[in-house]
Amino acid sequence: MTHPVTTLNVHGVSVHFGEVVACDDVNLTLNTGEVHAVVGENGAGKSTLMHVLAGALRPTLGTLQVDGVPVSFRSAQDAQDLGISMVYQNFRLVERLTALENIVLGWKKLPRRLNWRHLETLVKEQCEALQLDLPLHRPVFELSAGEKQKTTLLRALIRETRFLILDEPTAVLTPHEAQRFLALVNRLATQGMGVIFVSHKLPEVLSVANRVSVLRHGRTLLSNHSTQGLSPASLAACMVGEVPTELHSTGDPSPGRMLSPSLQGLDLPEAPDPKSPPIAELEGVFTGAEGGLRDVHFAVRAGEIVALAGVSGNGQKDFVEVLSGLKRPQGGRVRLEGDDVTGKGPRVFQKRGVRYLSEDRYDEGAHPELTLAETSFLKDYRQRARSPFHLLNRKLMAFETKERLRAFDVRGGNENSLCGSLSGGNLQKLLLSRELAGTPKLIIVHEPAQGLDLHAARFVYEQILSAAASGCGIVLVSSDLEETLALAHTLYVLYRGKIMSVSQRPFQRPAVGRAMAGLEEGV
Amino acid sequence: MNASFMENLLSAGVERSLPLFYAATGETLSELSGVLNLGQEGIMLASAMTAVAVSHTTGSAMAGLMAGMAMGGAMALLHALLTVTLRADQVVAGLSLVFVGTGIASVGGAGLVALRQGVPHFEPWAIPLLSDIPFLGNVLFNQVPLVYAAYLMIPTIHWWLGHTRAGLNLRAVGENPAAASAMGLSVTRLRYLYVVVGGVLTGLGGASLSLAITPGWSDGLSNGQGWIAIGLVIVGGWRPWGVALAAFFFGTLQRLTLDLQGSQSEFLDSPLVGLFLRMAPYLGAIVVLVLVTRFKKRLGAPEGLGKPA
Amino acid sequence: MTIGPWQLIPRTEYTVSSRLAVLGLGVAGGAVLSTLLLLLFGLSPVEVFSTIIHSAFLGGFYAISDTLTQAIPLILCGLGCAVAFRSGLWNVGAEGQLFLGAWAATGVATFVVPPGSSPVWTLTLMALAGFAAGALWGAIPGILKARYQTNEILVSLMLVYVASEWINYFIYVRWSQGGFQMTPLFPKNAWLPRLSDWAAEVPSLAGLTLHLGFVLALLAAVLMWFLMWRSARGFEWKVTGISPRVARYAGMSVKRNIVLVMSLSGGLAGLAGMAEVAGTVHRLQDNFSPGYGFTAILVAWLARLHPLGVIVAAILLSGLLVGAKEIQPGGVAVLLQGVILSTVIACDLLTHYRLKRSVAKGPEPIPGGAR
Repeated sequence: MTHPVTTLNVHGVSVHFGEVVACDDVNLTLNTGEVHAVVGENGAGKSTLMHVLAGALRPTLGTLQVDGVPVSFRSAQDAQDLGISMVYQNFRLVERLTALENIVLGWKKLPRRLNWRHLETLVKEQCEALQLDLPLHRPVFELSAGEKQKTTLLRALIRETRFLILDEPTAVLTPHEAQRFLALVNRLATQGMGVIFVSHKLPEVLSVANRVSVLRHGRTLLSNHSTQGLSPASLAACMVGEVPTELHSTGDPSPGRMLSPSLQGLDLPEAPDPKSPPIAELEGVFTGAEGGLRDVHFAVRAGEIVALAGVSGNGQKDFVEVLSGLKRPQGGRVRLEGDDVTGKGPRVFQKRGVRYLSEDRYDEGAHPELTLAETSFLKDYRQRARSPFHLLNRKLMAFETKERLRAFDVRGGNENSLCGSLSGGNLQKLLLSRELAGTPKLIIVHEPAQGLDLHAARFVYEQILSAAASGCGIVLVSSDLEETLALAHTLYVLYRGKIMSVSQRPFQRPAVGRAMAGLEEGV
Repeated sequence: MNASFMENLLSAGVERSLPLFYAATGETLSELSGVLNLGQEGIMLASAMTAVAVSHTTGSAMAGLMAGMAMGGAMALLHALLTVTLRADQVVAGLSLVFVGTGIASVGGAGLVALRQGVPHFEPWAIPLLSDIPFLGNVLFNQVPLVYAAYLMIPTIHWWLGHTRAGLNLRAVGENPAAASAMGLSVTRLRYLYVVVGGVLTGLGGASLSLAITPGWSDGLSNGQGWIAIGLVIVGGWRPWGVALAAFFFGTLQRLTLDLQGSQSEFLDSPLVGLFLRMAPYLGAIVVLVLVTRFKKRLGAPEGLGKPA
Repeated sequence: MTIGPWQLIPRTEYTVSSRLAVLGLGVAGGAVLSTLLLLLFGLSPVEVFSTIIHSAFLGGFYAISDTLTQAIPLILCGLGCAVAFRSGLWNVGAEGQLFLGAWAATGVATFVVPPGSSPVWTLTLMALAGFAAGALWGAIPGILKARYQTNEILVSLMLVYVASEWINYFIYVRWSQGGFQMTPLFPKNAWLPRLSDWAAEVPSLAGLTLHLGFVLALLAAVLMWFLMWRSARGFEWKVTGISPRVARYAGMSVKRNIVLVMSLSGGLAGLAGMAEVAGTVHRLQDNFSPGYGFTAILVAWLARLHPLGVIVAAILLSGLLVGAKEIQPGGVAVLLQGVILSTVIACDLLTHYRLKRSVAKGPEPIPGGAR
């Protein structure tokens, strides 16, 4: 079956946010019937470009053309009218509405009076054509990540989409779900859709895309290049700014393993003696039948880096909160250095040297409306208070904050400015300096490098490693498999609240992948 | 207690719940779109006063009703301006509306107090046939026309929320404005619309107070009913039927305490009992509020409530 | 984010001068809007404003003394609102807490303290009783919120009506003096000393009603400033107010702080009630508060929730209350308060954002598009 090919041209598009240039003279050509991957590291301008394509952002300069005709979007609706739909990374679904309601929400052809039976048949037809299975009448908050992904996809499909933009679509899926999703993407392209696939997972990109473009610092380093004969190595080099002179000549078609530059060449300290007593232990911890932890056993020793891998939303939050004392388990025990501290409350854990760096930097670990000094002493303000009235010693706090800002090279504000003025990377450095201060015995880090640029991520990793080298136990909870594989001595895999596997270096990647999908139990 | 006492009580309870019902339904629409409007008490007062003023001047209760609704809409528009466009805190904006409404009512109503009940107002109108049904006929179908409008409104809003495009859009915009916006809905426009529609309904509630329940104007006429209405939205679970039942329950409770105070029994005449009867509606509201928040797992509050777009 | 042709740029640092400027703009806007509304109601704005300013501030010592006297309950209730609002708790029931404080102080003055006791002990006991009763009344919504997440706005408000019925029962029935709507006058040892008490020595003090409660209120403001700005507890309250999630993460006990703040907030309002009955009316009577507890919300907001700012805002609003007494119809004060509050919060946008005229070609995030 052949379809007339439609072309979407991105012509010299630049986007400026004040001083910051997010996209600089970007040129791309996207065709229907193809999967076109757009790759680049964090902050390369991928998301900005996608927002321009989806009509969510107006470019400062440049034009978009459909079949050579310039178009300009005033809203996401305009883009949709031309058949361009975007599937956002965080889904943007209305949780309380059903899948079906979400699919038809905002659809141009939706009649004033809704005939739900008719709409259901309509969506069911689409499902059957793509061999999708989706419980249409369940509210979205009951759906799994994969089902949410399908919902957003169907939402785009019933809108007669010609160009479908997928922003890191596999980030929240298990390896197994991801594979099935990639097959679906291929099917869509053969049916004549143009798919724009944004990702930084190179093996995935090479397996699914017909063409690839590389963005770096907002510029197109590689445009519309065929993926035929392209090796991950050359693509990776391109992502970090070194375009190999002969991209075609690298004759290695097998997709090898790619490691983000921030994770390359890190010095892992030696693993501690497995017989040494653990700093912290969980024994049969249970936090609830639905979405909670079930019978979790866990141990971490001084100087050991233990990673907890798994797709996010499988009980990670409960895990870090139980281990840091914020959440009291409904069953099981928590021990610190052999002492039972179950249900003792976070202050006791803090006093015993347990530090926890939250994944949420903007509404948990810190807040945009707190000053840097307040953030820096968010937990230790009492230690800096002068008795008998517990008056804060603001001067000392300001002084020590200044020291920390200097030591960790935090830029973008002084001790009196608000956290909102810092970039994500700088804020994370500040939070890290807070948790590393004093003599921590155990540091729990949850998604420590999420959303950071290469430099900041690298800095975070190095700090974690040096803390481990100096004898601190590290618990790294992350949904980034590469990160956990590169940093951990011991790797636990969490799936639906249960520990699926525990393994030691060297790790068996396929086994870990299966455990993440809940397919294999035991070691 | 005999049947005629029950009949009278329920009949008066239906009437009494009218302002609560309209205000709570208005608040429900506003909150479903994601905007908390704490100004109900002020809106009710201002619109009750306006309704009396216009009804008196024009000699038409209908004109008074319209004017009361317009006043409610206008005040809600101010709320939308503050919270949607100027992104003010919804709580404080609502409180400012209480001041403004109370002030307008009190200043504008200064000359109306003397009118007492000599204002054109709505009288009960028995629906032929239906009102002949024993017991229920008198309770449900021998009421002011505003009650019948409420009967029609409940199923209409219920149907409209679940079975129309506009209803779907409304539910989406209050739950997740970002997602709704990404789907091409205008959060700003929808919120303006429903905050104002909600205000019009609250205005209707205020007008029903001064044109039907206790005709005429006196300062502080609503006596906290606007606040109770906000509580009823929680109790009713943000659903039209739930809100209507909650309003009926409270209206009857209010009526019951009034009836008991007026009855000729020695026990009920004692001041201490009278005190508790007068406190009962407010204490009852608190107790129900606590029970609802305590025992319901998912409250049903729109996720986007209180958050700017 | 945009409003019409304007782009909103979040401010990353707040300066005192910019905040004051925005506040000034809000109040000025309120004055303009009030003028229009007064005209609409057929009142002369010039007359209204000049009456208020004259009878509140320019009318000599008596006027100023009156204004400061009425500022006392406003300062105390305003402090209560400020500490609660800053901690993210919407205690809007200060009026009810004030009622209960006045009731408890009355009870102590009339029935507990033996006649002829020393004024110091009597007044201290009254103040403690007033504070405790207010604190109890404020703690109820606090406990319900901490335990069951019940909305504290509605509960604290319902409790205003309950408190009003409660004290009316005592005013009309139990403690009524000869069937009038008031309790008997307190014995002299339960009166807060006022300036006119020294009229014998300093004749110019004659007739000035300003009482010791003013000093009490100022002390309370300074104390609250220390508590909120300098103490570890105050830091916990601030963090809880900004985000309970962050507070919990930091290991602060959010629930305990909710109850503590609501009690403190209610206690301050209760103290206001005590000061009012012991310093001004010297008995519990019907309608002794012209809505101090509600005006306090406005006081706290105008003061930007700053305890020292509360003093200034309370004096200004007290002037409005005192002046408006001279104006018919009686609702003018409430109306003006509402209008000023609306315009002040309308201008609040400018404290959080800078407005910049969009450049025609600038990138324009469409709502809900880019984060």
